[in-house]
Amino acid sequence: MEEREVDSRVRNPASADSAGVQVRPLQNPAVQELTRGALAAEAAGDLTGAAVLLERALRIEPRDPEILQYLAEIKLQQQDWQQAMNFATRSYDIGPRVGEICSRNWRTIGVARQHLGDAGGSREAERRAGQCMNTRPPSL
Amino acid sequence: MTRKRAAKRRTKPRKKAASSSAAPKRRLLKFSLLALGVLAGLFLPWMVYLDHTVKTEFEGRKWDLPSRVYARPLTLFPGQPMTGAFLLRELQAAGYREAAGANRPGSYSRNGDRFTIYSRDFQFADRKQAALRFQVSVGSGEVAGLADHRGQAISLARLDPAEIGSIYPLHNEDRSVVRLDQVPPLLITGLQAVEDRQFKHHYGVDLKAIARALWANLRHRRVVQGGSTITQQLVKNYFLSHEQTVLRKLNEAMMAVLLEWRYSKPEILEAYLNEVWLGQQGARAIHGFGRAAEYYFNQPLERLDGDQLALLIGLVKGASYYNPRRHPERALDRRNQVLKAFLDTGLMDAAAYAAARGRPLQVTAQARSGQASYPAFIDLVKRQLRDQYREQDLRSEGLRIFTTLEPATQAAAEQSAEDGLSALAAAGLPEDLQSAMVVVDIHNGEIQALVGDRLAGRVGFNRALDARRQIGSVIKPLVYLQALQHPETFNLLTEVEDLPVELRLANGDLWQPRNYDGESHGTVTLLEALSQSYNQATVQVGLKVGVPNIVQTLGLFNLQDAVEPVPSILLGAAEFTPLEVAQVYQSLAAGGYTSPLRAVTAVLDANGTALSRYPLNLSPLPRRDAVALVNYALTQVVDKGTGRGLRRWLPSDLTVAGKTGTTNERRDSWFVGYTRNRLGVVWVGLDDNRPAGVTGSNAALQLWGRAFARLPLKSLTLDLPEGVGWYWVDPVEMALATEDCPGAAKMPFAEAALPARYASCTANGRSGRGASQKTPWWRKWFGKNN
Repeated sequence: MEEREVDSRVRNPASADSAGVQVRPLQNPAVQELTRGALAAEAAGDLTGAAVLLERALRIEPRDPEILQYLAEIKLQQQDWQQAMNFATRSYDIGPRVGEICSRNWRTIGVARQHLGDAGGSREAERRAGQCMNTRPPSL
Repeated sequence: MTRKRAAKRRTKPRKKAASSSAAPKRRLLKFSLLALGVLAGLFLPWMVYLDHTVKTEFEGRKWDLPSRVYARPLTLFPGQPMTGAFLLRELQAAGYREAAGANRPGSYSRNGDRFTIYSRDFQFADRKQAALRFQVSVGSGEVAGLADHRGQAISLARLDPAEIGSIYPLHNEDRSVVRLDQVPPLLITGLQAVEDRQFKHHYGVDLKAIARALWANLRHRRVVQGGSTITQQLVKNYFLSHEQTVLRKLNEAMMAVLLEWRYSKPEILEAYLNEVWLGQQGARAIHGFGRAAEYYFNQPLERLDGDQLALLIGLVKGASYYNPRRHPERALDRRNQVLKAFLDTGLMDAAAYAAARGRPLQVTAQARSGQASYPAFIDLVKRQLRDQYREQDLRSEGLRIFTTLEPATQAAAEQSAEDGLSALAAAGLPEDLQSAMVVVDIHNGEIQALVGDRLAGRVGFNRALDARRQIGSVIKPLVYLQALQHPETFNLLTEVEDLPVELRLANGDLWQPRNYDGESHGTVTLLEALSQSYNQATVQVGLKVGVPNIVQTLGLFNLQDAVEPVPSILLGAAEFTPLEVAQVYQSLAAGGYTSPLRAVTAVLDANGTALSRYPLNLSPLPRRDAVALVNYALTQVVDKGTGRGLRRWLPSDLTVAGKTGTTNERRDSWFVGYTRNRLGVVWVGLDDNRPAGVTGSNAALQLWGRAFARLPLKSLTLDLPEGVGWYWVDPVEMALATEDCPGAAKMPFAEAALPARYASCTANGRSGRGASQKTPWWRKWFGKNN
């Protein structure tokens, strides 16, 4: 595989959509350390190692949409389509439902659905990914 | 371990044949030859037999290594919910010793809420981690600070886990094998100094030592000294017979010689280090220095100091007589004798000797927990592994099993069951009440504690896994979950009738469910019906949504086969185990994401290679919008409903969700409750299903409260998925309100179908436009956080 699907179909377009405007909430330093480790493991091709570290991060912050989405992207690379979809869905449920992470949520769901043979669901997910940038975050 | 050493083959010195041919001499020769022939005829086959025995024993021996079972490692990080007592309990479970300065791995020191901890190096399921000395401070119910030994803040520290059990070979030998190149050099030299100074030079037996021993024994007219070499002791250990006959001694000596002939000194020494008997834990024999180090000091062998090694070497002489836990004075004397031998042979200089001699024994108070400490949990571990591993492999392959047990949480659960049941007995309930308890991490399904008997250490019926009992009102949230999936018909403020109901069942019986208090409460909201656990209202709701649909909801948790589609299941006339109940509520508590409950996270082989991993899995329930509404209603159970009694145990500002359950004639008592991260299920009742006088709130809830009061907790926060939002509600009129209405509180509703009624404090309410479906912007309370 020349370019990884997770980059070409999830991360890059989501990043392009959000045009560099990113709001990253402050993360627990313990989570940061583990996530950094996971990134390094992923870069070295050690997907199992990355997943183990992200699970440890989730023990610390079980409702962090970033970690959940990241784990979804690892599952995508492990071709565990069902779990990729489930983690992305969970991330969307408790995440901001707007912006880059929302786009990554739906793009992951789209790719996973396609591999699971749900073409219609996949298109719907791509459409939802596109809407992530249209919806303005609810204001107080 | 093979290869003979031809160089060591000794040839018997042959007598020169006599040259004279005198008749008597010839007769003597004849006789000698005959005798030699007879001897050879008997002796050689005997030697061959012994040689074969030795060879088979030495080479054919593959030690059966028990599998070790570890608790989940405690990871500390700033902001983590924590109390000093909880941390202390974790340290104790992992065998940490309190020592001023905490300057050795496996020790800690405590100054109020500040701990200095020196963790041990450990091969975790993901990687090997070096020993680390660090400081933790605990305050306001959480880890307030974490710093390395230089005072630099660190973000994360992971402790090596408690060993919570082993799965032993059937022959009950406990052993942790060490390699010769891993053991401290002092063990090798010290052992020889004490047990066999000629080890390097003899051929299996040490004639001088035997003579010396013989002389000493004769003088004292009893056995005071043994002349056995290390090789002979190894042979003795192999064949484990302690009869003291001449023939046996002779065999032993010959086998020792044969062993030496066939194998190298290092091979023999390594076998000895792993074979020698060094203690007894009940029916289980502790073999070898590796396990002995863990058994007595809770440390790996390579971490032991000279005085600790001396104690272990001293035990060779008599592990039972010098048992340091039972006879500490004898053991100390013996250790000091060994230290003296170290000094005399130059293995230790005078300063080191003086320092070592001055140290206490340092043996841990309790042996590492054997099988019996967590029988219910270990039972579950075995069941989880049963599908993938053969019993034989679990017992012999030295696997390292990483589990989810939290020792401090387990201790809290056990203590609460014990105290709680005693208190109930004191209050007049049966003395033989039983209970089961399950505590899980909501977000990953990891089982943190499991109690299967009122005496947690008792091996036997595991009620947490095997007691199938009616669950009573604990089933009700599933009835409302089904109802709330139809927001156009049901929301939390929908009014339902709590009135007498009669049903003719398929078998012709008339079913007339009554409420717990015997009253009917008339028109009530769905929220009240659930939080007050009204039976008649619940039956009305359940019949409206349809009994088959409730069965279908059970199907989401694979529990549909356990029930008949009859109306009585609406009130929990269905039998489930505490673990099954925990699975259902785990899913609800996690916002509708089921994570299969698990006790094992990874299995490594003896070399640290992962054989299996059990990763976190999620599977979403289809209607998480309804789940969110049920979760909210369950917080009201504890706030205002049947779970109010929990306040006795927990701080009033802690948000908890829960549900009580009581069955007919008070046979079963259930309470299921959860905070932000932890879920607990408690069952109380009698094994023979007699009426026990228990209700959800008088028994199980009390045990739950006692247990959770001992745990570091955080308030439950509710995540609302897409399509559900928070709205202001007037708590008296139970109608939509605005923030400025007196006493208004937030409540979740499906955005697509809001309640039609408005409270009189709102413009809509005053103008009588109560039926408006359109919600003005100001009615909605934005944002997702509670």
